[in-house]
Amino acid sequence: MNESCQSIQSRLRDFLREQMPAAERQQVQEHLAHCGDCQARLREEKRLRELFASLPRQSCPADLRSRLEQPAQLPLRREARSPGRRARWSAALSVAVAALLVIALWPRTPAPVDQAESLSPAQRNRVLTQYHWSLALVAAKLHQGSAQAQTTLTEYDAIEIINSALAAAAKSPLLRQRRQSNGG
Amino acid sequence: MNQDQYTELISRHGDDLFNYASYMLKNREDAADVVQEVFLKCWQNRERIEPEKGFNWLLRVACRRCLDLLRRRHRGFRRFLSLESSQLEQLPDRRQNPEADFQRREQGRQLERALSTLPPREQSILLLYYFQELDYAEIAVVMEMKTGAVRTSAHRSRRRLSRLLNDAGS
Repeated sequence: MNESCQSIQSRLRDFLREQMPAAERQQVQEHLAHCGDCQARLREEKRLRELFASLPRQSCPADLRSRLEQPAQLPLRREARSPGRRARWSAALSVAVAALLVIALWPRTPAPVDQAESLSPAQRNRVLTQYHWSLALVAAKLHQGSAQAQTTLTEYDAIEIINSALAAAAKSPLLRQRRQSNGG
Repeated sequence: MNQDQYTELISRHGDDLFNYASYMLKNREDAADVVQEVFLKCWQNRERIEPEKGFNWLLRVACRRCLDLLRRRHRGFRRFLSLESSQLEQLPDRRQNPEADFQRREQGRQLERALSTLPPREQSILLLYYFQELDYAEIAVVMEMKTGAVRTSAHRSRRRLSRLLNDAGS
């Protein structure tokens, strides 16, 4: 990108907002007429502006606004309700419960899937994944309950919880013993 | 800053601040907590805040707080807790625009999804640039960065966002 393109691209926002003097606008238009890069950048800028404009604009909740208007009555404690701390505790709790579930529910006798020699490794993994996934969902539900349903979980959070739980459970001697006796 | 100027800040910028925090944190309750905390700090520091720079001051504190909260969440989870689409649909749209139809909502959802996959600082820069319509110098003040660094980061995040939106078919 040459210097002229840089200068033009830095002014595209004002160009789109129609906030530039006529002479400058003319200059930008002339450049755009023969510069493919800047035309592409203009299209990108226009599209992003439109997309961001499509985001709903919310109003500050009325109860919050009335609280703010009486600052002397706002709670002085800096973190009256810390979402970060709450999220960490609830994640830790979910991981702990899921780890216990993994240990408790791990098949005491060889599961059919472990014995089914006819299953391909991929099929076997799929069944095991489903088993882990159902544990993840239990952990996710627990997390939602402990977070007082104020937040929602993404599947990534659930995966993270179950991965941590499996890692924690793998260290358990009880589980190691059970897996050895299952041959898995 | 006196009481009237403080109240003026709430009425002029309360919504802007709440929107910024909501889109950063993807959670209305957390956003409300941040807004309350920021205005409380503003009140406590009113002696040394110049009224004409009040909004930038509020945004700077809100930005710092949101990034801090996201960092903490990230320690526990790989991704940030997301605002469900159904929740998004229930959010009151203050524009009350009759053309706020399905297509616009769908676009908004796609944008939100793509945006949430970017690092928090990049999300913040794009929100401040396109949603709050700040320029690079103002964003630099809010995010405590150099203007050049904001410009570079904005360029990079814009490209990434466009790629994500293209992949999503928006």
